[in-house]
Amino acid sequence: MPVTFLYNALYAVILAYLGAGALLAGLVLAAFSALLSFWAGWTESGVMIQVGRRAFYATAAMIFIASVVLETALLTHDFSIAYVTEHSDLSTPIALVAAAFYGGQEGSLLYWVLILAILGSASLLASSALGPRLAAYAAGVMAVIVTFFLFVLVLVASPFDVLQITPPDGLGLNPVLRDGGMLIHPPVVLAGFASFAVPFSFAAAALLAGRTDAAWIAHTRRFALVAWGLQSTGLVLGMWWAYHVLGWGGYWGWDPVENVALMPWLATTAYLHSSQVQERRGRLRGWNFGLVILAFLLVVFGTFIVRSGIVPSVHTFAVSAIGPWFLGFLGACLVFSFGLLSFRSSALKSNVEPAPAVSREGAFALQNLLLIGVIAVVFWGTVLPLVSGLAGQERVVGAVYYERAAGPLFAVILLLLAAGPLVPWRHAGRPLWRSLRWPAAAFTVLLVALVAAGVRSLPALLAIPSAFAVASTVLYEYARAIGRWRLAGGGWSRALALVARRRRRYGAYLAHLGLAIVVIGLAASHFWQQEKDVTLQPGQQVSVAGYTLTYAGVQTRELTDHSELVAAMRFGDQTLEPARATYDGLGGQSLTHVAISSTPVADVYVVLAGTNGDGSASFRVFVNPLVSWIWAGGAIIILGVVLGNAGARRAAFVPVASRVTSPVGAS
Amino acid sequence: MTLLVATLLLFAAGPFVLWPLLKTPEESAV
Repeated sequence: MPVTFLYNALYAVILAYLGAGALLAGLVLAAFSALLSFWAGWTESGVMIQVGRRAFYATAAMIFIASVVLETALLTHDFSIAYVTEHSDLSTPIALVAAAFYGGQEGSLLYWVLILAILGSASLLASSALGPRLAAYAAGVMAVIVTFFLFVLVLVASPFDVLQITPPDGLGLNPVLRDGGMLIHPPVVLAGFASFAVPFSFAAAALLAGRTDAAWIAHTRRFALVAWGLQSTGLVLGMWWAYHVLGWGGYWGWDPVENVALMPWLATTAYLHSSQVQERRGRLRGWNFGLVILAFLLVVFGTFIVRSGIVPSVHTFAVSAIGPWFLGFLGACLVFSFGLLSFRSSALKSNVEPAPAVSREGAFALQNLLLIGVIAVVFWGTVLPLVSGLAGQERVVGAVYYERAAGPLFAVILLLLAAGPLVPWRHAGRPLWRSLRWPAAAFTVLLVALVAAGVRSLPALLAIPSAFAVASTVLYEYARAIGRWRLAGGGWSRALALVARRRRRYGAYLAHLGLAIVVIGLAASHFWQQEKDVTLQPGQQVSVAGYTLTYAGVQTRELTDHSELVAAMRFGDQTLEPARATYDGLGGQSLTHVAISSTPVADVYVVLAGTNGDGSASFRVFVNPLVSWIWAGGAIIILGVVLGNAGARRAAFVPVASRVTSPVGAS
Repeated sequence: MTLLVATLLLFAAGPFVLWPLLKTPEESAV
């Protein structure tokens, strides 16, 4: 027994010190990499640039060691480490114990910097075409960001603090996080947030190196797409999780945490479109830099908002004392970014003649302005409690504000999404009006059908026909491409091969189609959701929107880490089991478990509000039309991004910007 | 203790990080 005790004590101490030591070594290496990369880039010393870059890779290795140590400590229930005690216990299923790695403040920061170090290393390995100076500066900027995170992890919020007395069991994970969604949503969202630092680093490096040509865009776009794809997945998974776990019948609550995840996504959406204008036409140089920088600043701002707890949010479990550090980091990033942009402002001026308003460039510019408008709406709604609090009286806005202010902007963006892909570069002529007839016809048919069906809500009459117009544009473009190539005598296989060759374009169209499907799901579930509150005795029925459910009775179930009060509802040949879970080990905290019967037409969503002594139970029953379209559309968006970019080492088209301005890749 | 572990890890990372400088000129020429 003493031997085992000694072994366990030694093991715990070794784990904690190995983890803390790896983080400290990582901090030293990251700071070394930052200083050396800037100096070597400035003096163009090839050998020192390589040393700086290798120091970055070694930093990534140290962060990886620390991550493996933390995961090992969690999986072996090493309760001598405070983080393990605070975020896991013996009764939690092992997969969720593993997920506690990013379930708490310190662990999520470590996970974040791990993703940044991995993606940063990958981006540096792939940066040979950019020239040593730009890549050295990019390594320097990334190393500075990593240094900041490691500084916080070593000195402010270490995941390896050791407790004086080792408790026999941990406190366990927050009940809201004890769900399968915990295994996928937080890691994807955190990875999305972390990945925005890579495009930012390359944009800042291009500005530092005075390389304002399109070369940085070709490199950065891939990593911006990675960030955008991760963030899109994270947003959809977050909605899915909120819908399945929180039990309020919805999926998006305009909570500050949702808002701060949406804003960098919107900025990167704008960048992915405007970057094409620079690639094709050599325009919007400064704007593109601004968007990439804005996306990263919004990520840092979002982290500050979430971690400081400065605005009221449902994600209160994330609050801690590291807020001021992130505020300082945000301030430093703002000064650095604006300083850099103003320093290079003369080189960012476009020397191309202005494009006419009705052109692809014009459509992208308008879309960008609208997206910035949405960001402004979301930003001011999010910081209102903060700003009004400083003025004396704290005020909060709800969904109505966001819908009223951002709704019209989204409506115009949708219409633009239907027309934009059909507008040619540089100028528009008669063929444009001819090709617009398809989306116009789809819009009109849907509008007439909805009005005939008795729909009178203006937002619904705009959103759904617009989404169908977007879908018809995409289908028209696919049909046109395949038809043209078939007419050229290639047959089906050759036509499909040509579509595959121009996959970036057709992948983007698939993403547009996915977005149209998401919009239809959002609009239908938002405008036509029905709900009813009822109290039923066993055997009694309730009908909502034509769906009838029968209450069968209540029973109690004991599970490993909690007990459940289950109220069975018969629905056709299915039995839905909404429940109330109680976690005795967590001081009796309880949580509702929603029961959902999902079809492509509608979801029947049942929440158990409570049970009464006479055997009756109270329910809230929702019927949410077309919710599953949101998840399907989200999957199609991701598929479009993956198919459009997998294996494409460079742009599928030849950038005509090279003819208009300086050659691509020239310094 | 943390400092000692960090020092050991930095020492171990040395050859990898400093390899471009450790290489002899003859080897780099090859």
